[in-house]
Formats: sequence, structure tokens, C-alpha cells
Amino acid sequence: MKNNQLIRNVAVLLVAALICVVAGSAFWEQQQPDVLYTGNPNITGVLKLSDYNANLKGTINDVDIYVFDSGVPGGKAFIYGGTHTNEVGSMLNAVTYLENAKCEAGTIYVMVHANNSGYTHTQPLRGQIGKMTFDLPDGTVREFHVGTRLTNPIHQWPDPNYRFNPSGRELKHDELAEIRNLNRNHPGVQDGYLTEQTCWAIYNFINTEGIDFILDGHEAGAESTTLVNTLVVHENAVPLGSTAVMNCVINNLPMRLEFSGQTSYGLSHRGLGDNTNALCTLFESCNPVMGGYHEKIDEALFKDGISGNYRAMWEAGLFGNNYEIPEEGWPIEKRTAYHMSISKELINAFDTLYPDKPIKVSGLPDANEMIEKGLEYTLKSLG
Amino acid sequence: MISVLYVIYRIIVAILALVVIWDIIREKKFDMAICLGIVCIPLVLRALGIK
Repeated sequence: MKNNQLIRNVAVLLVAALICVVAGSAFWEQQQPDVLYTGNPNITGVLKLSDYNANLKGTINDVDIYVFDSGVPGGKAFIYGGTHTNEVGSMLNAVTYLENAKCEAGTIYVMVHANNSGYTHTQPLRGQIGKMTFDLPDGTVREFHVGTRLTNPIHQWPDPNYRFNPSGRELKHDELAEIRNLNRNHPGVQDGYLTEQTCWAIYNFINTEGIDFILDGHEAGAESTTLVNTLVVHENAVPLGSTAVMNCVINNLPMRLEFSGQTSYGLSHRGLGDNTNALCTLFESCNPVMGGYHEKIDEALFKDGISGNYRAMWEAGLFGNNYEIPEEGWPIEKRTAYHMSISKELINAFDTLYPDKPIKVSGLPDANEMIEKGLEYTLKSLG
Repeated sequence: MISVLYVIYRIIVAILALVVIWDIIREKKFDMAICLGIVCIPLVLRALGIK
């Protein structure tokens, strides 16, 4: 081998190594966990998902469930976000509860990152940002990762060629990646794939703790006309859901109720609603990023929710009168406030409908103030 | 079983990455060396469990 040929080839290797370091450090940074504020004195305990499925011990999805136990026996609510990790309004609602909530009666359980693995990557070729930041008034910055709706293949691979699990959903052909979708595999499999194990841990947690109702937070693109600003409820949860939605409408929040589809196999409201005693609900706010007609997915689109495409489609009458796509968009503080309002109304409704199981929450920020001043004023500083 | 498959996959990927790197050293044509350099990047990241 000639010397100059060797030098040339080593140079190629060095360039490849440099690209590995540059690209790898970006991927590595995405895998670092969010730092959450856990200084809320009303947190009375922290559970792990592995307490309910030992197979999750040591895995990325062994996430924390924060307990707000009032000490007064009553109803038990489970509010969680981060099932789909780019539907950030739900996650920030869970963060709002984590940082501010005080349970006055009953017990509230809060999980921020339901599918933690999903936060460690973004969808290839989608050109999406990996995190969003908030500049707080004291000069500090809060960062939250934004991921994708599926579990990261580095944590769950390979996908099967065929899967028919207890959810009733038959996965084949181009649906196979859904084996990594937390909201397609409920109630899960104890020793199945990582996502199925996570689903089973949630199912076992609900049964073990005797959870009375759950709220699974999501976001949908504006073209999902039956989902946007909609609370989807299992048939057992219709009285609870309709009461909560009615109270929201009275408060001028344009929300609607939708029944869980009988064939919505593996979705939380169907898979957990059918297999547990909990009243299962799921709320969707409007996020242009989730639709198929979004602009470039940068931080501004995630945070401000302003989309010219969706505004034009709404003005053309394509979405009916179900909801508005205002010029000011659907900013993150508004979406989070909607999640917070519906979850609060669910708690109030349960307290009213089941007086033998009281549950009350206080300490949450005012929704109007949150929308007006932004999340920068409600998020706690990490110091 | 699934985690065992993933470990086997990573071992295979690591061996492939080493073979490609060795080929880069031995390659006589510059354009082929560049091609191999491009190929080895995802192999290395996969073997390390980064992406």
C-alpha cells in the first residue's frame, strides 16, 4: 500500500469519526433526561412504574409517578402526559400539577413522561426540533425535550413481523411500528415488548392503587375535527366526562365530548376502560405540529402554534364550526391551560358525582393568567 | 428474548463497522473510501447504542 494512499484513507476515517462525534453528541444530548422541579411540598411520595412491573426495572421507561395524598380518604385520580412525546401540552399540564398542585381530599397521581423512551429521539426525516425552552423572569431557563410518538428503536428493537396482543389490535404490514406506540397497546403484556410492558405497568398500577379515573393527555392536528378540544371517554365515564365538559363550556371553553370507539383497540380509553374499574378519559388539544399540513417544525411552531396553512384551511371552511384557528394560533400556554382546565373539571365532577369519594385539588395557576402571561410565569425556577 | 436479539444485533453491527473501517484502510480508490466512510457512520452510532 502506498503511503499517500494510506494517509488519504486515514483522513477519510478521521472525517467519518468527526461526523460520528458531531452527530452522536446531538443524539446523546437528546437522550439526557429533563430536569423536573420536584420541590412542591405537597408531593407525599414517588412511585416507580417498575413497582408495578418489575420487568421495567433499569429501563428508560421506569418513570416516576408523583403522589399527592391529602390524608383524607376519598377518590383517586391519575393524570398523565407524555404518552406521545411531541404532544407537549399534555406533558406541560402534568408539569403544572407536579409543581403547583395541592390535594385537599383524596389522592392525585401525576406522571409526566409516560413513554420516556419517546423523548430520546425524533422522527427521522421530519426535521423537528428536539427541545423547547422557556426563559423565566429570574433569568433562568427551563428546557423540555420534545420527542416523537413512538418508543425509540434503541430501546425496543426489532419490531415484530406480526403481533396480536391483548389489546385486540392486530399489527401487520405498515402498522407494525405501532408496537412502539404507548397508546395502541393497552392493557399491555407483562413480559412483552418495552412499550407493552409499560402499558401493563400502568394497567397494574390502576388496579393495585384502585384508581377511580384517569386522564391521558394528547394533542391533535387541526384537521382531526372529531378530536380537537375533545374529551374522549369510555362508556363507563360518560357521566363524569359530560359533567366536566359541560362545566368547561359554561366557562366559555369550547370543548366537546366523544365516545371511545368500540374498536379503538389499545387506546387508553378503550384498553384500560375495558380492563380496569377506572373511568378512562383522554383529552386532545389543538397542535398544528401534529397535523399533516404544518410548516417547518421549529420551536416557534411548537410554542406559538401559529400556522398560516391551518389558518387558511379554517378560513376556507374546511374544519366547519367546531373550533377556531385564530390569527394568534394555538400557543402552548393556551393548550396547557385547556388540559389543566379539563383535568380540574374532571376532579370537580368526580367530587360532585361520587360524594362518598371526595377529591379536591387547589394551588393550580389561574388558566386565564397562564394564557395571558405565558408558561414562563407559571413554571418554577430550578434555581 | 427480545433483549437478547438486540444484543446479537449490536454485536453484528459492531463487527460490520469494524469490517468497513478495515476496508477503508485497505481501499485503493478514493471515492470508494468515501463511500465506506459514509457507511460506517450509522454503523458506529448503532453499535454504540446512540442512534
